[in-house]
Amino acid sequence: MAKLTIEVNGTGTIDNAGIFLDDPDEKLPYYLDPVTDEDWKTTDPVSVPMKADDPLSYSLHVVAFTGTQFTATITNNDNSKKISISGVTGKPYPNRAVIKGTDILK
Amino acid sequence: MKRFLLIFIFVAMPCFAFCQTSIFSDGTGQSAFKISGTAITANTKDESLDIAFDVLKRKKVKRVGSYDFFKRWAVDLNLTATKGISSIKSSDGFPINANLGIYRGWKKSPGLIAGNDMRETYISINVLSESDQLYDLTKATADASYAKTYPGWKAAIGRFGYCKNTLWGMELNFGQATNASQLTQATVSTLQNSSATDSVKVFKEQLAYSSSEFRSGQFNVHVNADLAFLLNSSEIVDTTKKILPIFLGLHFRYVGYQLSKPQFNPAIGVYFGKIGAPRNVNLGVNMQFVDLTNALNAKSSNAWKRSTLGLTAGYQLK
Repeated sequence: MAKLTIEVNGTGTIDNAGIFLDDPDEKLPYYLDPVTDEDWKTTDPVSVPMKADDPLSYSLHVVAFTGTQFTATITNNDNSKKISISGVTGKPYPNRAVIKGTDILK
Repeated sequence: MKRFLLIFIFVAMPCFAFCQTSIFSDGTGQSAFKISGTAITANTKDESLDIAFDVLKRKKVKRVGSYDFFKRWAVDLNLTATKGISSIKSSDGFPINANLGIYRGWKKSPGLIAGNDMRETYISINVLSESDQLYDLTKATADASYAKTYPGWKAAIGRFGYCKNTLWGMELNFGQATNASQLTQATVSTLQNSSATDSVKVFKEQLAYSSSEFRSGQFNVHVNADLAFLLNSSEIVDTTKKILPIFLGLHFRYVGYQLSKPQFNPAIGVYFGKIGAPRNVNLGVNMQFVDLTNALNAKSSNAWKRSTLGLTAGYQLK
């Protein structure tokens, strides 16, 4: 079981953010909470049944006015390994970004 | 050595900038679209320099359907050097307007799956301190031009947000302040006459309001509405191109002051947002039609002649 912290840092104002982890049907999102207008973070660590070298499937959702750039970081609290994701809202949907991927925390 | 006063009428609309942290503000600093954060803004129309600070506390409160609701508190300190940064400390003291307020906002944001429209409803209450330069020709030359500070207050209720590629905002604010924004300033020149050389030279020049027209504690009402259309949405989402977001802004301003007829001061502008943060301050050029319907019976009935062109530049501090 890994405990993960997820953060989203926007260049501009972020209006909502959350992530689905190992959830292909996108049923149970982990919501992030605002720290500032630009910086959002999971209040409590997210527990995921995975080993250190297992790939992690994610679907990151960010809501902000079209053209807002952001960087998201998924950090394993046990070993500080990370996945970094960059994106911009408005493509292909107005005022939101959806980024899906499968990566190993490094 | 003798000193004389000369008065030149200087046709410029002065302003008292309220919380000019939004790029989408008109030449008088009024804006219905709020941006929180710390920002420095310069306005060429009145040579003002403005610094605003916000301290925010946010909290997610509930989820209804596909929308999430947030509450927040903000404390806003807004300082405006009315004569530009070079004159923050002058022989007349500190010509700074100050605004200290408390802000309560309720934001409705789209959830993770559906929706592309955000809106925030807010109320705010502010206390004001306004420093103005006045002249009184009935006084002796040495005392004819003087600076004075006046208290005031302002309450506002409004709503702003975005829908697809359009930012919008509307605000009703009212309170008590001076009528400086309704007056034109005169250039007060103090001349020095040298009997030894039989010459006259300018000893000092100041912009000032006539004390006979100036009134403090005037009840006023502002109705503001802003629309800003993002013109290049498909270009700015390509992060490899580094293209500035460009907005066409429309401002609707209705101003009513005690002892004065209400005015309609619409404006149109082009604004450039920050790359990666399109809602943040950067640069704007706007044209404002002051008293479009000529309610104050200006000498010129031509509305075009009463229009003013302003440049606003800002920097959002993170």
